[in-house]
Amino acid sequence: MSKTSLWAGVTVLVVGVVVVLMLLVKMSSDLGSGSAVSLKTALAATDWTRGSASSSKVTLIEYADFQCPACASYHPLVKELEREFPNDLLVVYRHFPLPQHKNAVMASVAAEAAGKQGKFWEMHDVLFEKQTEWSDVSDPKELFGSYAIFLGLNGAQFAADLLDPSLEAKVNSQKLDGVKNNVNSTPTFFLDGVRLVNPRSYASFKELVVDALEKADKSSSN
Amino acid sequence: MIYTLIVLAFLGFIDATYLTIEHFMGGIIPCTTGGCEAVTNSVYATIGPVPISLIGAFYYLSVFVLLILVHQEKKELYYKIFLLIEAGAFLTSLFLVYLQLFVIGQICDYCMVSAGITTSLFVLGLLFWRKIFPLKPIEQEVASV
Repeated sequence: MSKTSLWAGVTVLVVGVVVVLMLLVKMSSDLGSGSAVSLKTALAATDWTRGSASSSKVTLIEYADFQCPACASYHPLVKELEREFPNDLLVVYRHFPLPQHKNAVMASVAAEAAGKQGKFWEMHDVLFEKQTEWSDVSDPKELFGSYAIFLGLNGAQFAADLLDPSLEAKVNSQKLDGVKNNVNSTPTFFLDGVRLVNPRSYASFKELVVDALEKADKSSSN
Repeated sequence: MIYTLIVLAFLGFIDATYLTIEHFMGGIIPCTTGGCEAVTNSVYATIGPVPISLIGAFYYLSVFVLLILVHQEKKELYYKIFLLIEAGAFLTSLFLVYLQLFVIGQICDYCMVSAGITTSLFVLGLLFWRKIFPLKPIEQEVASV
């Protein structure tokens, strides 16, 4: 092989890699939902939901871990969706604490404990927003307690509920349920039961919801 | 032997280029460790406006081209330059792994793969050195005195 053709080959190869990678990244961000993996578990009475259950046409179920940075990155995106589709979108949060996150289970229990006093979603938001504050502390109970006070909860009741084994059992059962639905990373989203390839921007996430709404409208008018 | 090094440098180039593209396209990276976002969005992920992954992509590309030159020209000087770059890259990788483990406290798959490739390039580069460029007899005599 002549020198010129060798270097021409190398150049083509390198440029080719860059172009193919760019296309792959672009495609996966455009596609959003590629795989049609369905969720086997229907909504349960114990599920935490935000949005109007009666008027909503589309359900977004999120399996997430309060200590996972990617989940915290998606948190503002999901909130923005809730703001934009207040009547059409029902958002469900399910616990999926990952073993490498030492405070994740406790954080889920804290959210459940706040839920017992009617403020699950408020605690959910605070936990994501203050994730870096509590992730690395050896015992986050005190910090969680301060969040509870900040949210206007009964501190003593909240502290007692943090130790309630039934709350941890609920967290674990949701996680097991996730495993049954082949959830293996967080966050994992199911839009109307179809598992999403995580969208990479708010625009592509919104597009998925809009598509699902159109589909729901079509099927209800038929 | 030289082919192993060339393939490794090429894989490193793909890894770093992917991270660079994701950086500029603002994507969220699929991640098995859950730490990719934390690492690639940390203050340590860029030097000024330049992402470390871009520097990594240039480094792997230079090493890739340099190794092809070694293969073509059979000049030890090129190989020595390669080893020198690798020594620097190895130390840099050690520092970046330290940042992930002890400062950020999160691991990013792609960054650990890159650290593994650079370590392999450095260690294999040293091991292969005298196999690719054996010492001439006179130098061996001097060396044994």
